[in-house]
Amino acid sequence: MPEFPTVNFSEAGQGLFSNEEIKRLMRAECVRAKRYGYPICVLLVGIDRVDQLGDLYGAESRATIQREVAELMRAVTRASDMFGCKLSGSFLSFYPHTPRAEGPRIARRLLDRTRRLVFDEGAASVAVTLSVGIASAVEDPVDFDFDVLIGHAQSALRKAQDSGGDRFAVYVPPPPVPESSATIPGGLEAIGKELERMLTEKVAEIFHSMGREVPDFHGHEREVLELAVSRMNDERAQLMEDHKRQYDLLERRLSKLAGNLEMTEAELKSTMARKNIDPGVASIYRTVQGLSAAEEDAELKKEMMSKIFEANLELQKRDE
Amino acid sequence: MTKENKGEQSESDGKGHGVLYLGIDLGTSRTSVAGSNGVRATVPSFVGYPKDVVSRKLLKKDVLYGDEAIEKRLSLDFYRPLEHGVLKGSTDGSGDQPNMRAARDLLLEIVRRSQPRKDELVYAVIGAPAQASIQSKNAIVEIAKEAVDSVMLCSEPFAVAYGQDMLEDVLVIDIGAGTVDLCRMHGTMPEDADQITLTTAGDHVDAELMRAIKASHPEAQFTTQMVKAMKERHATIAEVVGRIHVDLPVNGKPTSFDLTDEIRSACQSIVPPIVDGLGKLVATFDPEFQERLKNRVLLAGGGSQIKALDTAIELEMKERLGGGKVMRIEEPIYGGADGALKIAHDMPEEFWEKLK
Repeated sequence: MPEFPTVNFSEAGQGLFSNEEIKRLMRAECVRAKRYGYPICVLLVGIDRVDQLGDLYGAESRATIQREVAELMRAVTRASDMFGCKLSGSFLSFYPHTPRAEGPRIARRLLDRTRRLVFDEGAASVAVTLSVGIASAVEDPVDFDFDVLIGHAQSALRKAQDSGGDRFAVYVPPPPVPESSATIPGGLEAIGKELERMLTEKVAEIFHSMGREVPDFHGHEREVLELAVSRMNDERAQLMEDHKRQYDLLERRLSKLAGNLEMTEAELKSTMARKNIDPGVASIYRTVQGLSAAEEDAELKKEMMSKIFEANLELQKRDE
Repeated sequence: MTKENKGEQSESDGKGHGVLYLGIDLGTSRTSVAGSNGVRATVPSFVGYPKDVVSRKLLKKDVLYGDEAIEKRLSLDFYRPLEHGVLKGSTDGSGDQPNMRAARDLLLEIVRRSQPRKDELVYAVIGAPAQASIQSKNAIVEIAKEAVDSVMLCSEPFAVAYGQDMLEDVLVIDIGAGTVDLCRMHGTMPEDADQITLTTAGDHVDAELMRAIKASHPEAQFTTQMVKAMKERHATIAEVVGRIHVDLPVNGKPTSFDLTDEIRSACQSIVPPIVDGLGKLVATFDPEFQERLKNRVLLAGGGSQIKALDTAIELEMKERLGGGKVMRIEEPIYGGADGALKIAHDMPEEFWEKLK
């Protein structure tokens, strides 16, 4: 571990080492840690809403706040155990020989102390909070790359800030992307079996940790299935019952409507009869009329018809 | 063939598909119709109108006809629009409007009952009493024009004879409620001298029966309608029949009366006038054909349903005219209507057209 201070959180780079030099030292420490296999922990600390505070209370107040936070960071950890520098407006603290679990403890301490800070800005008292992103390099050789490690810390910091600030977030590597089913022997079925096995193991582990007997999964599965089938049958029966009730109701309505229709038809017929709109009976003499020459006494009848006609013609003319 | 094809005529008024011919017997007691569509109907010649709003609501009709009108007559302004075979008020020129309206409605009803199609013209021949006055005939024509497209009148007894195809040397007796029409057919159209109209008809029998019952059973209570119904059920002149017992109320209590003699006497009362008329028609006929005429007497009309009337007339003719043969037609109710329908059918189309 270096015996000289390797922390420079000033904007202007005042101090024994410049920011760039400290970064170089950090890189060298990463290579060394990878080679000797000791863990590294990195905290990237950002002051929440620092730009808004600057806008509200001026650049001087912002600088004061940043200075106070830098002092606080020095205070929560022995300066000889760490490297520190400014990185894009945030404070980067680098802890060699520090296990993964130590990062959150440092962050909690830092957050608690910061909450107690109060800045007097005229009539107003300004409280400041921090967001902390934590990344570690423990086993994976890739993590010991300085840029990778800083990237993880930045990702964790964004997560803390996006969650509202005044908190820390630990970088968690994404789960390994499963190989496509096409490439796994047995395809989806095999994946399903594998997942089932993993789930069974996990559940068994949980039960063991609770000091209890691992349940009979297959027995429970049968029970659950039977219960589900029974429930489904009940629901189906209920549904059938509802449908039957609806069907009966509709049948009754149909029957009633049919009755009404018959009554309406009867009423219509009655109305037609009353209004004399019966289509009537066709005359059997629709096309042929008059005396046939072959008829007996045809001439006599014709003469009689003429006389009847003349008498009626005279009668009706007289009337006119 | 001289039958005329009417398929292409009568396109006016939207009616161009055919003609319905009707024969109508507009009678004092009963109006009958026979149609060329095969429909026959008869309705008692009574018309009633609800007396007030209450009866209108109860009866649910504006006009009632026939038996229904008789049955509900206490709730109705009740009309019998014909008397002695003619429209009431048509002969004296009084223009009895209620009866004229009733007659018009009656005619509309009888035409409706013949079930004409909407697309058909309706031509009707109506039987009128043989000696009806010009005014009476005019009145019938006037109301008929509201019910049909073309109308003609003819003598009722002539229509009966024409319907029976008995046009030569026949004496027709058409006994209605209002008149008895006698007609002498001798191969030509009968003239006034060939026809006699008597008023000693069905109504006369009713009146005689009422008078007789009142005389013999003054305690009995009855109305004209009751007497008419009694006559239509029991009318007879036969000597050998069972006794006729009829229940009539006496102070509200139904009482059985033996009315055999009264009924027989009342029915018998129309025989002498009929034989008188026949005698006149025979006496004024060619002597060479008188015997034949006496032996061809045709009995028709509702009144001809009196039991043994034909025999009674024959007996009276034998006594006063030296003999005679009376034939009853098969359907007395429709004899006039059937004959009128036959005339309507045989009438040339152009005649109908001219009278439209």
